[in-house]
Amino acid sequence: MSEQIRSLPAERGIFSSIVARLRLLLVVIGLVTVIAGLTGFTQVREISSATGALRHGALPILMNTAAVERDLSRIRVTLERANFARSLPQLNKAQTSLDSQITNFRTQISQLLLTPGTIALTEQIESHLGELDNIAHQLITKKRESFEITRSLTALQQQIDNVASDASMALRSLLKDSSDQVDIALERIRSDASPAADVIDQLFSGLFLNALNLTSLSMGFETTTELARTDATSGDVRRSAELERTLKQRLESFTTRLTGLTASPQKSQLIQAAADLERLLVGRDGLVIMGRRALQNRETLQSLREQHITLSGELSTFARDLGEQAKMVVDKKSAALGAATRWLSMILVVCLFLAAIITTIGNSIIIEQQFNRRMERLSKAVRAIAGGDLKHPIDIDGRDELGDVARALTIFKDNAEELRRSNKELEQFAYVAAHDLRSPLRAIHDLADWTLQDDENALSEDSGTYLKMLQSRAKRLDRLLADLLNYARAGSQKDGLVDIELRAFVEEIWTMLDPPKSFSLRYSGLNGSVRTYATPLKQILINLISNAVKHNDQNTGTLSISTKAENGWLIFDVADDGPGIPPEYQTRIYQLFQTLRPRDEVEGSGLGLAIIRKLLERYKGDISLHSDPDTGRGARFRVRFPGDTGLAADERSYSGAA
Amino acid sequence: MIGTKTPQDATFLLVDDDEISILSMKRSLKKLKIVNPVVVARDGREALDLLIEAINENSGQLPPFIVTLDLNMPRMNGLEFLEAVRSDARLQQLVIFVFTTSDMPSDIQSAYSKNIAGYLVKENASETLSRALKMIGCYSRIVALPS
Repeated sequence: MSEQIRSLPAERGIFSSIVARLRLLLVVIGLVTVIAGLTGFTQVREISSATGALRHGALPILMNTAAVERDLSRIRVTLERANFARSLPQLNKAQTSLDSQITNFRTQISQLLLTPGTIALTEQIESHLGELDNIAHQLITKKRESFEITRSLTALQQQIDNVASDASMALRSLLKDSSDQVDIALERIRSDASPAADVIDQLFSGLFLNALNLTSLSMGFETTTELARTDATSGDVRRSAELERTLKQRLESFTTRLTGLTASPQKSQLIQAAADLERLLVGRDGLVIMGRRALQNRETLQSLREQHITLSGELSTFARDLGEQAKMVVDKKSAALGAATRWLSMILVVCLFLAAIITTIGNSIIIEQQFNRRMERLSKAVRAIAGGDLKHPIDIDGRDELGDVARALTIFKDNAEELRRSNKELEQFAYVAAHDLRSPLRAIHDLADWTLQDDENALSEDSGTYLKMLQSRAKRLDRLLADLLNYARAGSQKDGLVDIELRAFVEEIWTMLDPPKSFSLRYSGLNGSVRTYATPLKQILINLISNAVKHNDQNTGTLSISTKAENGWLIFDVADDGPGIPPEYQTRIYQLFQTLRPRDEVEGSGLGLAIIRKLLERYKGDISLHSDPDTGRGARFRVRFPGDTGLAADERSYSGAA
Repeated sequence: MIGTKTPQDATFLLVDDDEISILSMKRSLKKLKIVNPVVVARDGREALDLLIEAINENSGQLPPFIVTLDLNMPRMNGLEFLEAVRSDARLQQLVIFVFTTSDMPSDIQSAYSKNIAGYLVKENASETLSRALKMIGCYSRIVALPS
């Protein structure tokens, strides 16, 4: 047998173990999960950065650009208000709000400057804003100047009006004098019937011319002042120069005409007025110059306005660009967000797919092919071998645990086969021994019997007694051999579960044992059918009942057998009214060849209880004894044996026994 | 009587290697007042030869035989004899009682699986034999009535 025990491989390759293969599979799945997790994590980071950029970058830009445009239009409106301001307070107010608006705007732009991607634009906006600020200042300065010029112009006008009214008063008085002189001269002519020629001459060359001169002067004065008043602040610089020339000509002609006047206080007054007028009109700070400055100022303002309109237009274009750029950033980030989301879902799908494939392949290769199928074959083989089919093939190989188990199982199988063979041999031996031993014994018995029976054999009384004693010893030896054989075979046979009527079963044994008529049996307990191993049970009950009858020291007796079922066990209480068994012998009775009385008194091999115990060991049952001759007669054996009243067979105990 | 197959014609063939067993069987038959002819074979081989010879003498027909068969014998044991009988079509009519000291279940089982008429334990030869003969329904007809 020992050469059949093959040694199992002590070590094996790393992946020849099923556990290692399963671990490898798990590691692969884990790796895939980790990769999926890492990729997913980067994608999630991408997504969160994109949303962050949207939240902190593009969206504020979008919002700010709207504010920038609004502020720009405010600035534009304020500039217009400054431009068209009618009074200094209005202008001052406009300037204040303009300053604050520009400062605001600058802050907003500098905030925008913080977001990347808009730097170039915001810098441009900044520079434009600087220019706009500059223009605004110039504009306000010019506007202020223009207010001053207007004030000077008004003052000049006032002075001119004063001079003109002085001059016209002087002229009016001169004209009155002149007309008085003409009247006097005309009177003289009228009084003279024949006016002298010199008088008429004097009248015309002196008085008329003078009056004419005065009238023309008066008119010239008025028209000139009127011309200066109206034309000084209208038209353009070219026309202003023309006006200057015209005014100078007129002022010269005034002087010429004034020199022609006869000397008088009025004349010097008029000369003074003409000089004043000249200074006020075409002097260094005269009306013409002032008007020209006003014109120039207006033109500058105009051009500044145009500049700021252009600038703010450009600025609003920039702001729009900024908005566009922000929108582009939003679009780009949204696209990145979408792409990341797509990536993420794709990675998830791929990883799920991979995991599914790996799981399927792992399941089919490792679990199904390498483990499950072989496991199934192995467990089938184990069950078959446990069921006694030692010929069942064990077709599992491989260098893993299952292979090891299969090889071990092969060794077990070989051992079991060996055991079965040796058992069979032993049984064969016992059979042959019993047969060959009992045959001559029976022959001896029979021969003695025939000697006693046959009438023609005349025997003495002693001879007859001796022959009978010979027969009884032969019988004893025969029973001993039979019991030994029984003991040797006890439980070695396979017995199936059968359904029996327990009461009938017990009564049948009683009848078969054929006890003396003075002995009676009382059965109580289970009445229906029970499923149990009938053959060993029968042997047990036979031995118990025959012991009870055999060892009773009275001529009459009652045997009580009560039965009950308990969780897959049958409980038998076999109680007699015999002498009982003293406690000191109660453990010895189960040993081989133990009897408590001489064999000549009670025939017995001393094997009955030993056989019972052996059978119960085989079927996992047990036996106990309750008897105390000091307190009362009788012995009660309690036997626990597998069996059930239910219809379903309880294979549990048998599989343990087999 | 020759050529008919009534049980009365049956010959008892006692197959046993133990002289005392044969003696016991003969005494039992006598006790049961059976007067049919008795032949003895010491083992299976001898019994088989005897039967074949009887067939040949009886123009290929098996004359009626009641066989008591011991199991443990030299040369050809009882089970081997049963095997041989089973494989020979001419011997199908044979009435065989296995008659042995062995009460081993495996022996009983293998003997019954070969279509025997009964299984008798040697302990109480005449009683079991009479029971067995009753069982096959021919007891009354082969028992010689008292004159």
